[in-house]
Amino acid sequence: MIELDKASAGIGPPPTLSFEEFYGAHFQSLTVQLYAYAGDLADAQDVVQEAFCRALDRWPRVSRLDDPGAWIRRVAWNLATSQWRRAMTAARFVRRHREETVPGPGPDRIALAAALATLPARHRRAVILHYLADVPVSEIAAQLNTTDGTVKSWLHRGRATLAAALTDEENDRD
Amino acid sequence: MTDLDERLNTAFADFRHRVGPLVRPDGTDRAQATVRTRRRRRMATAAGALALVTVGVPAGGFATATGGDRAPTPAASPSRADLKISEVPRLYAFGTPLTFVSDPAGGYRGTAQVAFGNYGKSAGRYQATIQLSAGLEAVEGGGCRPGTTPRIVVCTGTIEALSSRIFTVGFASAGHTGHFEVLSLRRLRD
Repeated sequence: MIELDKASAGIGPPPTLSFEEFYGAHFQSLTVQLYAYAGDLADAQDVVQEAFCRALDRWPRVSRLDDPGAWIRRVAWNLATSQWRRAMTAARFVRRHREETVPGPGPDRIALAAALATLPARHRRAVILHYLADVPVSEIAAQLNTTDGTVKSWLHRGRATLAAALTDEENDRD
Repeated sequence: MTDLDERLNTAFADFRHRVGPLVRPDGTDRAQATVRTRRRRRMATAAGALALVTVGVPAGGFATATGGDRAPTPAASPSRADLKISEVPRLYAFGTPLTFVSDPAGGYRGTAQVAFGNYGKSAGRYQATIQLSAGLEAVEGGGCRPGTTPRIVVCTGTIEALSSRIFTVGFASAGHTGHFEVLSLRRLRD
């Protein structure tokens, strides 16, 4: 969690940001990121809405942060990661107890989302934060509690895997 | 920027462009309603916890201080309505057993004195119904008489202001260790 003591120390912009403006500025971009991560738009919207509810609950402090956008992004991503882990656990349980049925590719399936789904969770997270949220490597490293070098390594591997997947997809279309 | 980066940037921009319009925010009103509901629930939970602490802890403390492992059980107290909480005897809580040893020198008879503590404004004549433990038999005397049920004693006496009025309970079986329990304490009309 981002520390809030900067706000109490009076650092940062004056509390002129309204919650409505904040919501409007970040809801869509965060939902797109989390959809790319989890592959379910409805879940992504729910998670982002929950993150905004938490922000609203402590809005006087959040609104005085240097970067409230980073706070909401971190909260939303943490929620999404927890939910994704729970979903994976449930899916493993279901797979063990009944015959697996694999859904066919639907018309809404987007090539990039499919390619992202092949990445390990941490690589996927780093790639999405970097390419979709335009977050610098150092900030990604801080958010994921790792080093810049590790993030660069994840990005490198993620890029290679995505490139291969997208190339295959293009070849299949041709 | 490499070709690969360029391709990925293009792919992500396309993704953003295609998914963005599909996002349907619930809206800030919904967020505010959710937060209001949660705050109300938190308040209700906190109020419940506070009530538990303010009522439960003193009650538990009272039971521990006065009753030990036989805490007062209001439902089992037939004459609880006769007692206001301020009139609960200080030395022996209503319904709380008092252990005593009968006097061997008194042959088969012994006495025990029941002190109800200082009452002040509660001075007056009272009637107590007292139950003796198994093996003891109530006898007449000291303002007490056997009740209609074995080992039940009904005592009448005066509680004086700022002093402890004592009921004297007679019982048999010298040297026997037993206890008695005040089942009810009722103030008599003057």
